[in-house]
Formats: sequence, structure tokens, C-alpha cells
Amino acid sequence: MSHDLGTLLPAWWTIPFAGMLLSIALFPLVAPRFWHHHYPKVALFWGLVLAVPFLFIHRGQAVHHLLETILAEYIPFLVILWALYTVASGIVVTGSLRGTPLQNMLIIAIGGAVASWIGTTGASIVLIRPLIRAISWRKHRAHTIVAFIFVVSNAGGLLTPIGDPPLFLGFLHGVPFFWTLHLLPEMLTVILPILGLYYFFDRRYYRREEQRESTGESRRPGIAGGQNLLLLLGIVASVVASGAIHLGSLNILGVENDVAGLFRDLALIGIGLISLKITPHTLHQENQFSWGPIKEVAILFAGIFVTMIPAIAILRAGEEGALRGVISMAHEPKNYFWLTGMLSSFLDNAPTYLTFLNTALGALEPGKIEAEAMHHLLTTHAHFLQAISCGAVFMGANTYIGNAPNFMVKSIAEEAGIEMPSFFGYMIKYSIPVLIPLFLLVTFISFR
Amino acid sequence: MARYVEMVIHGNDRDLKGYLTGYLNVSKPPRIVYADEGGFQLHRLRERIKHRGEVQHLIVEEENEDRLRKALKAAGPRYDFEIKDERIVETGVFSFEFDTPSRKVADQLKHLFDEMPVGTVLKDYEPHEETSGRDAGTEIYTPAHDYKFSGHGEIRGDLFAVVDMRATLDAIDFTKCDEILIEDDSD
Repeated sequence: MSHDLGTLLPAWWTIPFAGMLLSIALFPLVAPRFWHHHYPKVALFWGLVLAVPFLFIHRGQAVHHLLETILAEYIPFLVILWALYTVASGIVVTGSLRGTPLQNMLIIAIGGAVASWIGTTGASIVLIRPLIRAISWRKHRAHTIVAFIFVVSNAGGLLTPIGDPPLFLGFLHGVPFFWTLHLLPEMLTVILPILGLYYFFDRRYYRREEQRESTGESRRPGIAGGQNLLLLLGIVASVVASGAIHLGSLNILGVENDVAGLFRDLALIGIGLISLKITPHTLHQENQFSWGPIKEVAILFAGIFVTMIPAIAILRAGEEGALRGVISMAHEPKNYFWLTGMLSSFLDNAPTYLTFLNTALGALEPGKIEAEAMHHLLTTHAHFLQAISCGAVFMGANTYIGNAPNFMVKSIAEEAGIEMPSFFGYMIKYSIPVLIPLFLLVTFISFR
Repeated sequence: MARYVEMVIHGNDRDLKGYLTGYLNVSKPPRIVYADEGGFQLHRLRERIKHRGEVQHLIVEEENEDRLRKALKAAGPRYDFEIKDERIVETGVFSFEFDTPSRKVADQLKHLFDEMPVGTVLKDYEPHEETSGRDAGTEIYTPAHDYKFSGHGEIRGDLFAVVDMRATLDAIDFTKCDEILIEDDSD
């Protein structure tokens, strides 16, 4: 991305980006029906508010930025989410679980462990219904769903770029696939206490509840759609290979595209199509599979990626850009952890990650081309990227709107008859007392 | 209609419950509903003023009144339970409301209201069912529910049946029950 444009653009060019993110954050809360029916128009509105004047004023440079964003970021981002969603939707956990504190904790722990390999959304889709079935007879259930959101829908996705969309964006910008494995200590610092607290409280509730009599119909837990597990390995292999193999670049419409990345996207599309072909319809029905979520991602992220262009350019310009105030707020890794995290609590964490990644590049590596700047950031200022990654992934759990699967899990639980806390109830009763102290602990241990 | 006795007893809450549970632990113990467990609205200001100190409200069937009196008397000076007030009561009433996106909960509520317990009536019941007509499946960014069952009403009638009905309703998620108001001619 050109640094010249970033130094020229005034800060008001970021208004459509802010509008787009705030629309995603606020409309589902304040006008859910309007949002459900009209979100494509809202995304189009903000996209046009940015694109029309941007193209009119900056012409050729703006066209290049738009094409680069679409070809090098938006399409690969959409392809991997599509492939993960398609394949994960073909996996069903079968059998009957008893809903005991230990079993529930194990399901959540397993979800946390696999989320980095099938994505937080995929892990949530695969495991939320078996968990709801297991606890259907229990009196106190909401805290189990909240623990699931904390661990499976958020923190569990920290270890690979497949785990959470912001990390995949980092991967597209040059963060090596296995680099995020270094974040295991931070992940365990958050997940293990949550599991321990969950077990403690669930055991107390369990002891007070009337125990269910055995119906004699228990079936051993198992997995249907096991072939999709192999396809998941294929997805991981494709992404790893695209980062490890260098096949040069191909100029498409004036944009240099990484050839290995193109092969990766083709492989992912192929894997998704194979999954669709071989997965029995009944398994998709069990997971209530539809293209709705991918349609949402495709439309909303088109708006996000387009409106994000000036914000990223300005941030990359560092102290010379109009957002130097934002850059001056962050000096140390702990600032990045909390700033990325607090914004990720209320806005989508993928663009937030990218915003702060570029803030860090602008502040620490000004004037360098992206590949060189990223390499230097990873070798000399790795703590900054660790802080941004942890903030984006962990703090999405702070609110229902912080990360996409949160709302999905809440919605599935409510439709299954579990009353979930309100937006503020979730924060006051769960995320503030449980998560914020853990994030302070992570700050103290890793980002002092 | 069955008649009940509401008693106001001076004494410690845990002592009273523990003592009566132990003393009346016979083959057919009388049913005692304590106000704090049954969800009664009792602690009105005038009662607080009238019964200063630690008092407990409980309700028993009239036919078991003597057994309870005997039990309290047998407690002796160790607990010093004292009946401060009592009255005959028959009926109670409470209002409720619900709002759920769950068809399962909706079916549960409909079934409950279709088969009201003997001695109770459902009044001013206004249910509202809404279906968007689309089956959106699992959604991520726009998770509006495509089904909604909401409503409110009032359940009135035989006191113990009302207590049971309230306990059943209160245990169902998405349902909120007000406290039971004991109906009294003097109110």
C-alpha cells in the first residue's frame, strides 16, 4: 500500500469505516429486524460513501487500492471462511452426554483445543448443539453457554491463522502460520482458569439440582462425518503450504498476486466442494446448515474491506498520517493489547486487528515496504504483535457483539429454550468479573 | 374449596424449618409452604410494623392446623416459637409474563395453560405468536429470531394449586412470575 496516499488523506476518510463497524455492532442490538432485512443496503451505503469520492478524487491510485484489497485480502479471506464453514458443518457429534460438570467442562475444553484448527465459528457450530442436548435437563444452564462462548467461540482460536479471522488476515500480511503457536502460554493463562471456575460453579449448581434418572437410552458419543476431519487436515495443509512455498507472483489487473496463495484458494474451494459432495444431507440438517452465514460474511466484509482502505493507509503512514493521535496512544505492548482488545469487544475483531497491526507497523517500522516491515516487526518487536493478536482474539468474548460466533451461540441456545443474559447482563455478571481479571493477569505476565 | 391457615410465627427461620421438618417427619407429613419459598407477597409495611422482630409466615391446610400447633408447643422454651397471628385463607393470585424465541418453551407453556390444575383459572391471558416465515438457519451477524411467543396473564384459585403452578412456571426459562398475593376479604 502506498505511503504517499496515507500521508495525504485527512482523518475524515475513516468515517465510512467507523460507520460500517458501528452498524455491525449496534444495529443487531437496537434494530434487529431492520438489520436482518436491510444489512446488505447498509453495507452498500457505507461502501459507496467511501468508494465514490475516493475513486473520483484519487482515480488510478484508488482503483489500484480497491483491486489490491479485493484480490489480495477479501477473496482469500472469504474463501477460507467458506471452506472452514462448509467442512465444519459436515461434522456432527453424536451420542448422548449426561450434562455432568465434568463432561460439560470436557466438551468446552475439547472445543477450545480444536477451535484453532477448525475456526471458532466451526468449533461452535460442531459442539454447541451436543452441549445443549447434554444440559437440556439441567436447571442452571446459561453459565455453561457463557463458558462455551469464552473458550470455544473466542480464546480457543488463538493458536493458528485458521482459528480466528484476524489471525488469518495477519497470515495474509506475512505472519508465518506457526508463529501464533507461541501464544500457547497466554491462551492457557486465560482458558485454564475459566475451565476451573466453570467446573467449580457448575458442580455447586449440579449438587443443588434434582438429578435426572437414567432413561436407559444412552448412546456412546461419537463423530459422524469423519471424512470431513480429513478435509480439515487438507485445509490446514493448504494454508501451511501457501506460507512455506514461494512460487513467485502473478500480475492480475495490475495487482501482484502470490501464486502459492492462488493455489491455496483453489485447493480450499476444491476441498469445500468435495465436502459438499460427500457429506450426507442429514448431517447438514443436524447442524442447520445454510448459506446464510457465508452470505452475511461476504456482504459485510465487502463493506469492511472497502471502507478500511483509507484507515489502513493513514495508519501505515505513522506519525506522518492524520491518525498520529491514535499511534501516539500506543507505546508499549500492553497498550496494544488493551486498545485492540477494547475495540474488539465492541467492533469486529478482524478489521480491528488489521488497524492495530498497521498502527504498529506505522509506529515501529515507518517508511518500510510491508514485507520488510513485517519481518522486522516479527523479529525485533514480536511482543507488539503478540499483544495485538491476544487482544483481538481474547477480548471478542467481552460482549455478545465482540465476535461473530458469540451471537450465533446465544441465538442457538435461546431457540433451544435456554434464557441467556441480556447484553449488559452478560457483561456485568460474566465477562467483567471473570475475563477482565484474567486479561490483567495476561498483561502482568506477558505484556508488562 | 380447600381452606388453609396462614400463620405468622415468631422465631428463627432456620430453627423453625429444621424443627418442623424433623418433628413432623412421619408417614404422612403435613404440607407446609413457607412464604419465602412459595413466592408469597407478605412482607408489606403494615405487617412489618405489626410483627416486629424475626417472624416467619407459613401456610398449612386447615385440617393440619392442630398438628402444627402441637408441634410448635412441643418445641418448648428452647426455640420459643410463638404464633403471633393467623387467619383462614382460601385463594391466591399471581400474574406472569413470558417472551421466548423457543418453540420448545412455547409448546411447554401452551400445554401448561391448556391443562390448568383443578381449582385454578387463567385470567386476562393474552398470548401473541409471531413467525417470520423464513427459515434462515444458523446466522452469525444478523441473528434475529424467526419465531416469538410472548404473553401475559394471571392465575387465580386454590392456594396450594396456585403455589404449584407458580413453581412450575417459574422454573421455565423466559417466564417471569410476580409474587403470589393471598386473597383476603379484609384486604
